[in-house]
Amino acid sequence: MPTLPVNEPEPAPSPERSPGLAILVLVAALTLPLPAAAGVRPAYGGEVRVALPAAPRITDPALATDPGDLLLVRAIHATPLELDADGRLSPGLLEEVPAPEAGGRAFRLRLRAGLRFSDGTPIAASDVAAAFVRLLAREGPAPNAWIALPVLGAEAFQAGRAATLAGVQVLSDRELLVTLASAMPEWPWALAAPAAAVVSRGGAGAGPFVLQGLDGAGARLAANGLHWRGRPFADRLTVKGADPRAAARALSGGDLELVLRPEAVPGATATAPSPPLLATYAVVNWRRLGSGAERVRRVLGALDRAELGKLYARGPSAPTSTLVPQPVLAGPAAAPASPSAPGAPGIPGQARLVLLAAADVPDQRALAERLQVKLFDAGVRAAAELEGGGRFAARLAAEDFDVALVPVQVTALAPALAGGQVALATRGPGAARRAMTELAGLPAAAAAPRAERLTRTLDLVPLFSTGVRASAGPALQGLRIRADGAIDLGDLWLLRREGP
Amino acid sequence: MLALPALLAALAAAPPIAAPPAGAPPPPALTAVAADLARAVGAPLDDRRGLALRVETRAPALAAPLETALADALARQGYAVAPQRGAADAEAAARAGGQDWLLRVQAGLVPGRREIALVGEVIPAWESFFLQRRPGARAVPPRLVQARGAADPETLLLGREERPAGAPFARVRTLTRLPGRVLALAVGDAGDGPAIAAAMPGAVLLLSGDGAVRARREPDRAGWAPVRDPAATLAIGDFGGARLAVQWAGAPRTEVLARRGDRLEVVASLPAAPLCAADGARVFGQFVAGTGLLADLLAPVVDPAARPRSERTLYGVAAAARGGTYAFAALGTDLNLVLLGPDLEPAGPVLAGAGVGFALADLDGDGTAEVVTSSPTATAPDRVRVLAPATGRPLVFESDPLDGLLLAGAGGDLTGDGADDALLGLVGRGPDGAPVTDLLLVTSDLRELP
Amino acid sequence: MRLRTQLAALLALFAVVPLAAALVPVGRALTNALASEHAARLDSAARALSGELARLSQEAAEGVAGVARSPDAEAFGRDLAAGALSPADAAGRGGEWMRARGLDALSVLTREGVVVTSGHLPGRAGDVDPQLAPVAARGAVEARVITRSGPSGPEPVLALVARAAIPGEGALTVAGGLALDQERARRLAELTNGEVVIRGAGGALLAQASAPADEGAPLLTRVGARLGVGLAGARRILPIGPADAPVGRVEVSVASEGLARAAGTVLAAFLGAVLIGALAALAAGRLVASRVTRPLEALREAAARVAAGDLHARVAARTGGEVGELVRAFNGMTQELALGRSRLAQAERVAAWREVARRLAHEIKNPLTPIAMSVETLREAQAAGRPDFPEIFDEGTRAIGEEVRRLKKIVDEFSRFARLPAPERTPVAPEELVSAVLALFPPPPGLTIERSVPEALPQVWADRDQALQVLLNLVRNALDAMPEGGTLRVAGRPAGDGVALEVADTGPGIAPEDLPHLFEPYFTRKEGGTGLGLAIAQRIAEEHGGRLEVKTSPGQGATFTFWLPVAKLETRLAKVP
Repeated sequence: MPTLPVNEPEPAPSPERSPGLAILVLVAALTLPLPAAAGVRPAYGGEVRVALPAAPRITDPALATDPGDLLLVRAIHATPLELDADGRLSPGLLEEVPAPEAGGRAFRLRLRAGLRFSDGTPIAASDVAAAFVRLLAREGPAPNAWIALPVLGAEAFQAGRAATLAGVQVLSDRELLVTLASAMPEWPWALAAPAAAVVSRGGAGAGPFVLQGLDGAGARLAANGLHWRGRPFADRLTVKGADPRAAARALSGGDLELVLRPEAVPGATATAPSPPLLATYAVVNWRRLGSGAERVRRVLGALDRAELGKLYARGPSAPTSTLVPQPVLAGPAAAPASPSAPGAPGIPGQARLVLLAAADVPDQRALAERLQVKLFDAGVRAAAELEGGGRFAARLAAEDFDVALVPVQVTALAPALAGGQVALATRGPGAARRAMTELAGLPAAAAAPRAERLTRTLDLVPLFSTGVRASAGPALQGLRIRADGAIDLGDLWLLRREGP
Repeated sequence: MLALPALLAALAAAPPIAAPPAGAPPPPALTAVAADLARAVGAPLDDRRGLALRVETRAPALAAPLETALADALARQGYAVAPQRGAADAEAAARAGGQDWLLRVQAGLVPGRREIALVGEVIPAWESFFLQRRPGARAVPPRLVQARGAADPETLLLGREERPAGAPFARVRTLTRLPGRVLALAVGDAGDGPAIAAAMPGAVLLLSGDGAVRARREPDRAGWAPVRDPAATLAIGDFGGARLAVQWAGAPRTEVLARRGDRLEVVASLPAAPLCAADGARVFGQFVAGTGLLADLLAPVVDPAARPRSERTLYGVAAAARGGTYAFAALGTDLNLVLLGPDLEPAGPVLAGAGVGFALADLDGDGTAEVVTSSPTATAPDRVRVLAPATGRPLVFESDPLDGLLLAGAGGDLTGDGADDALLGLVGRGPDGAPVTDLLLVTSDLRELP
Repeated sequence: MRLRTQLAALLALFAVVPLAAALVPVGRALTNALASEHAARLDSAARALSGELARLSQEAAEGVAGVARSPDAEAFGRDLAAGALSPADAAGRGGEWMRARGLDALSVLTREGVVVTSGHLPGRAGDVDPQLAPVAARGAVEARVITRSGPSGPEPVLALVARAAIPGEGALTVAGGLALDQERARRLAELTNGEVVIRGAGGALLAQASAPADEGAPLLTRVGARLGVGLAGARRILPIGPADAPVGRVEVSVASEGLARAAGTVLAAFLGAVLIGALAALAAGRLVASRVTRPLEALREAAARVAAGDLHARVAARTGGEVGELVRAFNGMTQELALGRSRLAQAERVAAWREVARRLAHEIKNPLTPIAMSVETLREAQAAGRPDFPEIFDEGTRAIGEEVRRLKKIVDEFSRFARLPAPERTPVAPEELVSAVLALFPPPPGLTIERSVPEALPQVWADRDQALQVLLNLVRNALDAMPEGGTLRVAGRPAGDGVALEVADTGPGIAPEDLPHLFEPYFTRKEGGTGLGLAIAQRIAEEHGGRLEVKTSPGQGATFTFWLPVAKLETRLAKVP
């Protein structure tokens, strides 16, 4: 990785390389020997059943943020770019990975020929453009708007000052030009995030599967024969929620093929961890806490984050020290914040506050319980309130909390984009723009100190980031965890061994 | 071209003839090559006509017919031939017998070719007038003669050597390494001797029997339907003027290819996939739409109206080069290998747990093909296994563990010993991490055995 | 106020007053007995509480020891020491064990007191637990205030805790026990059937619960509580923890509601007795008074009946004295009245028959004159040998025949009126009756027939032929009343226990002076009418237990209503032999 001057956009690092060596190292660690039958090619057919900690609910790429929802989105939708086995960007719906033009400000996106959505309608460049517009839709920006925020004119469009998104020009049926507000050579990494998926006017996706039904129990999907890589191996895919015991029982009983949970499922044929990219940040609501906020902040800042991850995250975890999760930055593991004496003596008696946490995301309850105890030791009594998906987001947006634990599944492996995603989820679009502008074009080494400064400015308390473990049954083949934690569900197939 | 010293070295350890000649006339190929050698020996010199003939072959069965053929050919040259067998010192025996010449002939099959080679040493056996005080001294320097010619099947059969006790059934060695992943293999006669064809995701290669790339073609993939798991079928056989036919999964039609220099050019196209070909027989099938798997459809002719026999899907179909009881084999996606007769109907036990890198090859030359396949275990490493379903001992050979996956295979005679060999594609990763395919030769040719 | 009531009230008063006077001393004695009972129950509740606390201690010790000795715990210690169990996975186990054993608190501690997993305060894992670390690992139960996770954050709770070592090399101990929390207080309250209050060392209230009040009789309880003054407020206190430095206490007080209710029951019984006595006195007074006042009542009722027209009313009371005289005089008076009325009726009947006879004679006389004249003419014609005799004969005999037929009709009608057969009744559908009648009358030009007879009308109990005759008559009358056309309306509707069939016309109506004679025999305003139709119709209606009524006003037409009773099931069954 060449060392680059910090302030010069030129020469831009090539987009394929920007997340740096870390990803390569990570990938090397990830390609564990998963089951692969000697001398057997993939077979088609059958049903692959996947269990998550909770059943997925959201299929809209613009709105999905939970790891489980993202898995479902990736099953239904296709993104312009993909990640190859080495963690590099590779073409998806696009014919090739776009190279930066105009000093890293413009990208020419060219679609493959003959692409179709699962409902049969052709995929045009205008559909890709519509995906960006959807993310910035004026009736409340999507939580994944970070992808489109750097596009020229995004701010004006979002504020309603412009009717169209100036930075996106459709050149032909298969080609469009995206111009960014400022140079950001690593922007193509956003095109591999599930939120960049292209959705047809009728809501159909172009992913390996088509949604057949979605209810409280889970999602049922069928193979999409029109996927650009060809039809997936499995005929059907089921994604549901299951608690650890039920999942272990189902896996050993042959009622499940894959379990994605923080902890390894006992009795699974093989397990592999995903990179810890689900980063959790504590957000302190100064407006509600007033002078008490400083005390809370000091308690949170004094936490031993390495120990926190070790003791309270069941999956693979890494301490996080900035708004860019450690695996993306890949710098040396940041030293935990200097321990200072918790419990400011200034406030007598027990203060009470509301600690908001996401109910559906693993380990958030354990983390909230730990923070409760640490705050209690410092004389602050916190009531943990765990809320499911929509309610959590609504309360977060309404600032209806004193301290909130915000989990962010980072989906782009470039520091600037990851920082933007985290900033958007925790502090809103303004913070996201600022984070992306400051981190744009920086290599990992230079991004780390900048990210740390940003974290202080945005007043975030980074805690840790976690991943999941994929536990597969004996029949499941073709499982590969990408560097961004995604799994191409279309590649999963079942080894059927029958007697003569 | 095999160099003469190498040939000599290969023939050096030939044991003496053990059995008396049979009354049957020698095969034509043997007669022809014997005549060539006799011509090389030439007419009798100085009216010295007495000739002791000593024939030495590695294959015992070859000695007697060859002796007969040589004796006839030499007699036509004007020699009075006296076959000599069993003597420990042939030269001394010839001298004692008052012969003028001793012709020591060593014979064998040329490795990798269907050829028989004869090397003769013409040794003077009369007493040297000048060197009388040195008994055994030769009056004139001996002279080497040689002849080689195409071996007919009968000759090949006679030329096969007997397996020494304790020798392994077969040997596995890497023939060559190809960059990329080989999807399908075919072995056969491409018009100028044994050849190998290999289909890769973006190319088809034609290799010589020893693994050298002779010609290639990179198809234009426009209009192909995407297939998640790339697959191809190809066969070397008689496809109406050209010898090679290939179809990739997702491609609209089968390409029939002919070699023009170092290029393979499309000379025709077919609406069915060539699954395998051997000994005049061809089997056509079709891919299940959108997948790399084959429908349960095996047809001896191109029949666009043919429909699959069942919902079963197949990984591939193999043919035995010379037919026999088990002329074909089809591997289903349930990993059950069904052995089929020449009529494409089931003809033997169903073998459970065969891998997709498999071939039918009559390695031991007993007229019934063995199944060469990968290991039936679900985890790496892979192994080459040879199963002989016709015998009471199904597993006759198992190789050491191999670093990679056996994903393609084909059978045919590549060593030129007259018996089939199997060629398996071992897909692995090269030093730079890119996929490579080692073509493994599985042979029971004794010359290949350690 | 009537005499009878006055007498009854007086008797009741004599019965109630002594009973009420006894209530006060009985109530006082009851209160004393209940107070001593309450004290005994309080003592027993305290004993039960103390026993239960001892049992809880034992349960806590056994639960903790059970966890420590379980193979699970041993494997846990081994896996943890070997690194086979990640700390985060280990952290979840405490909760599982705690719930499985029914404990309220459970932590696994290292030798240094660092929490490996905690069921009651999961967030403590990784820290030294200041509350459980000092507990001696000997299995003895101690009372401690510990912190546990609650809905609004960590909260203190009084608990009976024990600690036991997990065998193996991990040097782990299990500490935990049972909490004396709100839930426990509730169960203790249920056990003692009283109110249980759990307080910390400083007297701070930690939990409070009382046994659910028994169902029913809140009034009794309230009444009893008035009586049981001084029962509430008594309680027993049990200190928790070491005797010299208790960490908390449990207070129990027994609900006095049960006792109060007992008192209330006694009181209610007493009040019930008073009430029953009063009622009995009332009944007795009434009986006595009635013997005196019954003849007077009978006289009053009979007089009222006579006033209403019932001249046969008699007073049957047998009594003597002045009242007896009065009764006999009254009976004599009414007998005289009835006799006079009967004579008057007979005179009226004679007058009516006379009228009938007069009209019958008139009716018969009318045809006789033409007959006589025709016979006269024929005789003259024959005697004169008139050439047109055949024509005269024909005309004369036709006139005679016509008049004879008329006579016969009069006689027939009369005899029919006189000998109308008794109706043979069956259930008949009114709709069917109407259909049958209207089928006989094709609507003449200029006449509209409106018909509204619902098919769902109940069947009537009638002789079909006779009912038809009535309707036929009514319809014919109506049509006759409208020679110039108009509207005939036939309607049926349920009315009371029967069905009313109405036949209305839009003719000139019936003159008011004719109305009283309308149903009399031989009254007619029609040319050629016998005057018996409506009389027969009314008689048929009456013999069916029905009615025939008319409403009319001049110029507005007339409406006849024929009411027939509904065929009831039992009526029909009664007909079946």
